Amino acid sequence: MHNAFLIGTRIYLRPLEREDIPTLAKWLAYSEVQVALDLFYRLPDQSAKEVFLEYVKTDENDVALGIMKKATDVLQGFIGLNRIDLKNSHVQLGFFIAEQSPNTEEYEAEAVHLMAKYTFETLNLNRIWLHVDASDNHAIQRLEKAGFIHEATSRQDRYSDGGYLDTVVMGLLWEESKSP
Amino acid sequence: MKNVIAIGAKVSLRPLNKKDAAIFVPWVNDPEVIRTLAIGTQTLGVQDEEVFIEKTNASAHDEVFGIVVKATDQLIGSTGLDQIDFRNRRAHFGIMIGEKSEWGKGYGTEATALVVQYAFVVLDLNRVQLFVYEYNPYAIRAYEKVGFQSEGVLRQDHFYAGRHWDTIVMAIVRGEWEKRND
Repeated sequence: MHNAFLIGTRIYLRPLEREDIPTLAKWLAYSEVQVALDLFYRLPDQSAKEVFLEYVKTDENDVALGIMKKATDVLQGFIGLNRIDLKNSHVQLGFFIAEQSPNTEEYEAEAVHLMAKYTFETLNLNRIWLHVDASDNHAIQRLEKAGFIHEATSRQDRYSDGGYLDTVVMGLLWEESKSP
Repeated sequence: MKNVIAIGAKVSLRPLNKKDAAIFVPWVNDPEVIRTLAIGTQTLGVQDEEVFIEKTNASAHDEVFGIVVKATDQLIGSTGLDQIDFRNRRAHFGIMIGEKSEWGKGYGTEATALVVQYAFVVLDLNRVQLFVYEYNPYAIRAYEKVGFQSEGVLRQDHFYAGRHWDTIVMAIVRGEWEKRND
């Protein structure tokens, strides 16, 4: 493990470095990563560096970490907190695992759990929320397993492939957060 | 009436300029006014308001208008859109009636309808969304009158007066608005 910040059973989370840019450039070509980062109208080769620098430009309102496989020390994806709202005590969660493997879902669950624990127990926030495509039942189910609740459906929220798609807001409160 | 952007039966909307800043300052510091707004933890002075007006006027992602009572030509508040996203054709709506003596006269409802019309007819948007706190049923009714539908509840999303409250997400999409205006 290098620069481990939050440590799980099979993965750990670490700060991102400039050396991660080539990996990100490769991932930006994956459509699911483009959707996760809301980038799908830009060419990946032009924006990798720009996106990366934007992503790691963390301040007191943001946290961005790489998801690392403990056994191999290989970067699997990103997870981050966006726009920490200290007054209302909530924050937006974002993540993606680009390297697909039989253990992807397990890594994702661990990363989300580590981030939730950090959000509630270290940052002292009360609520985590995120947006998911309404049609992505699988993602919604995985989040529900992690304790998130489907709170709202924003109709025709996002334009993609020639039509408007609904977006779901999922929320997790400190009082109901539980282990994966 | 000068520089009018939209005209209703009782109110009109006009652009804001730096000179309006001083009128807004007592409103945006008044606990009764900011009770229902997303702002509310900072004190705001004339300079802050000037910066806000100039910044939103220069931004392609914001449209902020003054609300003027037609009969008296008095500026009573502001309304408009922020987070305007032209690719997804959506925006977030906000409103403040700062002049408390003008509350309860239907001005907010009418101003809301004018902004929604502006969003669909002038900006060619597809969706207008807003957040309203659970302790503001008066506003919820006003938004419903304009055609907004509740889409869900963000639990414990907003902190006010010592505790967390739910935020209700409401939105109107273009197809619904067109049907209402057939």
